Amino acid sequence: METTELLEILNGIFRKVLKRDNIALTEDTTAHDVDGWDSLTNMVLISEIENKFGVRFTFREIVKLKNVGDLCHAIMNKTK
Amino acid sequence: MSFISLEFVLLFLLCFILYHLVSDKGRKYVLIAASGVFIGYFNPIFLVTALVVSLFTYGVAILVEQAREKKRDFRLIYWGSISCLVLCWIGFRYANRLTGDSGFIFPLGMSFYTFQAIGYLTEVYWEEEKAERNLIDFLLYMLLFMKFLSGPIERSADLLPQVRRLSPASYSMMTYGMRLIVIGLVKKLVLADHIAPYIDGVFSSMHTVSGVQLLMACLLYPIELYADFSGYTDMAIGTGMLFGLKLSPNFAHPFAAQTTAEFWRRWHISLSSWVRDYIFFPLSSVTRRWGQWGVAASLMVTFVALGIWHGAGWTFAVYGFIQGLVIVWELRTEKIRNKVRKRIGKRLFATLSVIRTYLIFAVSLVFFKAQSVSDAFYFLRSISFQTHASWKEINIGMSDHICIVAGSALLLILLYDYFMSKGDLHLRFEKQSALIRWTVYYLIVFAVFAYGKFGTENFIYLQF
Amino acid sequence: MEKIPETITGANIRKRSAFSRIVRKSVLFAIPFWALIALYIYDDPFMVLRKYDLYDSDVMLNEHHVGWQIYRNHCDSVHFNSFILGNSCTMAFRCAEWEKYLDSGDRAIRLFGNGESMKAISLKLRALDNEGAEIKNVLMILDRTSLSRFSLLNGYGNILPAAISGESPFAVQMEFIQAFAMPDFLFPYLKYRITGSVEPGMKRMNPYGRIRDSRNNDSFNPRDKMIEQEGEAYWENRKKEFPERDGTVVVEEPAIFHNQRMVLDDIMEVLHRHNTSVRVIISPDYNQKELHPDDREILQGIFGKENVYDFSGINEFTEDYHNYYESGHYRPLLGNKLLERIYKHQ
Repeated sequence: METTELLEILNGIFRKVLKRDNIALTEDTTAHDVDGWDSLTNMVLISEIENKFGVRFTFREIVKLKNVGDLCHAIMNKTK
Repeated sequence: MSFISLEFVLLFLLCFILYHLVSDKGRKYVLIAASGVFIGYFNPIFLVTALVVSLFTYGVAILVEQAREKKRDFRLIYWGSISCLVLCWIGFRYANRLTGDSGFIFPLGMSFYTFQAIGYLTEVYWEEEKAERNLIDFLLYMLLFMKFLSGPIERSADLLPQVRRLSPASYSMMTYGMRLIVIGLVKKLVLADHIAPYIDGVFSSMHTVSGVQLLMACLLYPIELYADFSGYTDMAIGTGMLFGLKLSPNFAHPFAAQTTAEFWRRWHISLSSWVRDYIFFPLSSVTRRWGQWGVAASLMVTFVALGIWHGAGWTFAVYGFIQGLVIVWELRTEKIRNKVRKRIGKRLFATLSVIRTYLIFAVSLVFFKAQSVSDAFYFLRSISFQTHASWKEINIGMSDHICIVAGSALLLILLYDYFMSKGDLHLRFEKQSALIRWTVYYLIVFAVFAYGKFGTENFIYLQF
Repeated sequence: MEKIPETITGANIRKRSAFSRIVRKSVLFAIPFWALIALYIYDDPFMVLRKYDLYDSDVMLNEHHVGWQIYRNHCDSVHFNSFILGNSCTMAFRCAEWEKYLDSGDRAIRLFGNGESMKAISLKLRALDNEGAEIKNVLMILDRTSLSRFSLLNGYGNILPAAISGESPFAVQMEFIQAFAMPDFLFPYLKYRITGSVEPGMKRMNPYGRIRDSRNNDSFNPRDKMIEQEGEAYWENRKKEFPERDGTVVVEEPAIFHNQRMVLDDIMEVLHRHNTSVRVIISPDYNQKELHPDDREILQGIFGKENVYDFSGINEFTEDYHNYYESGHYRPLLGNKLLERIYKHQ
């Protein structure tokens, strides 16, 4: 899977969960840059992503994710 | 030994001078000795409990690391020791509560250093942090006198590296620290201590005072608590800076928060971020399959725990429960709020949200302050605009002098907070000419001297 | 010095200099404060730092402190066993006059406070008790305000000496230093120090010279002299200080509730132990407002019916305005009459 393709899917999930239409993720995007992406919504997002890609992260993996790029790498590693 | 006492000033001066006179290695011993005196001065037993908890944590962290290296099961050690710490802490809490006034005292600062210990052990367990092998460094992390009584609850990743290569502060760091101490004094002496006796008075005689007095006390208590606790924190951080240590911030203009969730990112940050990292994240990770409900359940548990951290008893549990409930409710109603925001405009919506958040916090603090849950309910039920005799009751007994002094102090503090949130006021202030700086210094110091209320030395968060 | 470039050893030198720089600046910054503190210690404007034989000052002093010090100055030579307690209206009762009605050899002293609280009276009795004093006679001069005050008053004029209140001496001294630092006192005081004279309108200054007896704290009211000089014109010229009374009976709200009772019981406990002969006087109020009958009954219940004398309301004593300095205080002329009335009763 290509990163751009992956970002497109993630964008959809983020828009749906955070109920905002103006989200455009890049690899450098962090929780800081996205309205509504905070500690309260983070786990809901992760759970949606896990369901979508059929993967499962451990707690420590989740905590270590610093930006969307990390998230993409983690998904790609798991789905390989 | 309170921060505002002759004993502390003497201890501080002695420690500060020695710190700069001894060799690089000696500095740690100066600080550890000062911390020992500081804690032991209250009661030698407090020093013993603090040392026992520190040594226990120090040892367990090394055991966990060794067990991992030898591929043995370290989870049992970790969970066993965490249970030990928590049980010990809860034990002291309840012993204190059950025996009442009969002489058993809850060791000062225990809630704060126990949480530091748990945080540190968890970091080691998660392999985020190496177990500290240098006992002196670790003791400094646990016992540093400026943060011992009421925090900030420091993270090992922040404080341990600073302690390891302890070095004196630069000149500008020292002046920054001194300014923070003075600001803390203004908050504590010119605002909190002036209004505290009257708010206490209303709470202690809530069955006889009028509805409007209850209303005023309820509205003013968040201000008192903020001035008291953030005043303490400023002094703690300022004192730390004089020794070249950067402690964690605890407050970030909390009354500007538009939602309760945001409020808790600005209020008692070192505690709220602690429960977020060590309770909320793991819980919400486990419950993430349940979606929104998992988040809600984790939130409730987290905030009830945050409430109970303040003390045994239902009042604190209810206090935390309210916070959790409001945040869950905010999550569920985000769509509606966005609609309202579009309808009435950003500015008005922001103002109303700030007021709403403040009022919710004020109401929840009634549980925090009251002696029992039934008292708190009585208090809230009895709030009204009714007076016994005249509208003058609205000042809850404060003289005009106190109203003016405390009111001006509040205004100044809020302005200070506002400008601090727009960029570091101190750095801008340093660029002013010496004449302006010294005039401001003299005015503030003189105001504290002339208008501060001396004699009550206790801080509210000392009891937790 | 701070401009030394960072060389290999520079880091250390710079740090050391930061310390000496901050010390230098702090000392410099504190000079005005040290100067003020030095002036305060040298002048001791409130006469609380050192002991004095005479408590006369151009500054208004703390009456609790002065009374207590006068007691301590003389208690070894004069074995005081009779105490006039209460608010400023105690000024109408001269110790020598009271002693006439007591056993020969009984010696009296006035330990009062402005707007005295019952709590302060209670603590003073406790302090005397702890000192080992004999408390044979007590004359309490009260009004509704004093009766209602079950907690101590604040401020430098009202704070009790640490020896009486049991507070930390440091906190008590802080209160005085703070009063000194208050701009509305400090600046007039500095002016007074330069010119050497007390101007009218200077806050908390005393333009009248001696206002108390150095042995028993009897009051010397400067208005006595004015009355002597002006005669009847004294009252004619001061109509503002003597508002018209319309002769209708006004009963005040009750003042004594649970908290006040507890303090009164405390007072009685000490008096009971000393087997004290106590007289409680409710002052004849110029405005002729009457103490609530419930309050009177409570007082009688505690101190004994025969020991409580309520002169408030409309009566022969409050009718004649010649008895008053102004509406708040009455003259020894009237005090003497009250003493006579009380002790004739027996």
